Amino acid sequence: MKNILTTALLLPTLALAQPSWQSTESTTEEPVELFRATMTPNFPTTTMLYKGDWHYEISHRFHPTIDEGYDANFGFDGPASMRTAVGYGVSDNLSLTLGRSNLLDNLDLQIKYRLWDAEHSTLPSAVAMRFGLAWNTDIPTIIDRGKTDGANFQYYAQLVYNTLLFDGKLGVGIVPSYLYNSAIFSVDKQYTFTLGNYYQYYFNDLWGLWLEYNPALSGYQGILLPGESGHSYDSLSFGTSIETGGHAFYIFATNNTRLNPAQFLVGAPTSASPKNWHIAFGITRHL
Amino acid sequence: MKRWIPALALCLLATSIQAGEWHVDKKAKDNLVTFTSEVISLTFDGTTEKVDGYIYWEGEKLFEKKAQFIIEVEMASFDTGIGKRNSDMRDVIGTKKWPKASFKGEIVQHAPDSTAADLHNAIARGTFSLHGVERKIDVPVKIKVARGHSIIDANFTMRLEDYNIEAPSLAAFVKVSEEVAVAVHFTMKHIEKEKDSK
Repeated sequence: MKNILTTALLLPTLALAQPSWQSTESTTEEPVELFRATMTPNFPTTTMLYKGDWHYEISHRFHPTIDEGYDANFGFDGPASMRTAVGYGVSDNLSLTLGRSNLLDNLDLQIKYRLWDAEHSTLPSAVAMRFGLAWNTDIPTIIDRGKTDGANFQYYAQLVYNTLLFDGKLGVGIVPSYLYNSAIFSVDKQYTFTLGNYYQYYFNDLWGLWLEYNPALSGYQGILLPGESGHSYDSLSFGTSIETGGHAFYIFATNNTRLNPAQFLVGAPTSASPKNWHIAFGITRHL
Repeated sequence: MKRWIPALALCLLATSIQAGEWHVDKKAKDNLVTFTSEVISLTFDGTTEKVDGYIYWEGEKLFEKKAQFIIEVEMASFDTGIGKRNSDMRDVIGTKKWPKASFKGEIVQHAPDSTAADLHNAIARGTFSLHGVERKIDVPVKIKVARGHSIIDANFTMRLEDYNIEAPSLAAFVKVSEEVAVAVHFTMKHIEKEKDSK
């Protein structure tokens, strides 16, 4: 009885002989970043630039095929289609990118916005939208049209879904894409609707393998330039990625030498058979 | 009844123990934890103001008995000036799994500084926890005591490998320095409190 009373009297005292401070939960919000880079060579990911961040891209698609072998240095002798672009993070959820391709001197303004993301143990997901305006500023002289003619402008919209499977090893992207005015030299306005999809397997923080496929589901998949014949083909690209220190390096083979989205989405100039593969690379850098 | 008198006296004595308690003033504008990584031509630092914690001791005098503390820092809140670098840092440190770094221990030495009456030098000894790894460390601390609040300053270095953190690449293949300098500056408000159950 005595022990109980003593304990009862001392217990509040002992309880009070403690600091009143309590630890709190972390309040810093972290976005769901499924892919480490903001883009694959030809498609956007849902990963965003952060507010105030700058981003630079340079990409080459060499015209000679790998199949041409040593005489063309497996394609590296060129010529090449090139794209350079600079991006800026307006906010953590909104970024702008201005790019240029040497094919028709296509200027390209993109707006990307993160719509939604969700942490999940097996199926983390994120969705973004990208809108683009392309202006073809180098019109062949055989076309009687000024640079600022409305027919030189193209518009596109892309919905981007990303997930990361197998304990973060396999990134998956699905990118339904709609391009308006696919063929700027066509009398009638054309559109192209594709279902882009890509897969990136991360061996470790540095190395990965990836594959992109962009089948056209409906709309125009014809020629891109005056004088061309035949039609365009679904794009297939695959290669390796190296991601380190704010850089992403992509070295790959592709049947599509067209770079800016308004040109790439129409399709590849040749089919995806091995004799039509071109060596290509893309390098991005967070500045 | 007489037998109860000592117990009651002890009880009353215990309930009137003086104690000191300081809490990090999270509203103070100059709270700052900084880490600096020095690599030739690529030195950078990261800062955060999200620091929290307390110092508590028994007795009337500064750190008189059982002076204990916990200091916590939200690791995901560090800003290195580039969002991508912040994101890479969060990945490397694993902030979703280990959101806070903490230092928990005791003030094992303290003495007034010879240069200023309100300045004290102390040694904080305890367990530093980061990235799921705990290590015993000693940190020299300067404490400036003012009315109602105190200002804490501390500097120490740590090695990333000691906490199983792989030094990430900073630019292409140049790696972040293994040794990181940490500077801590924050204000603690004095909690007016007498341990009295009455």
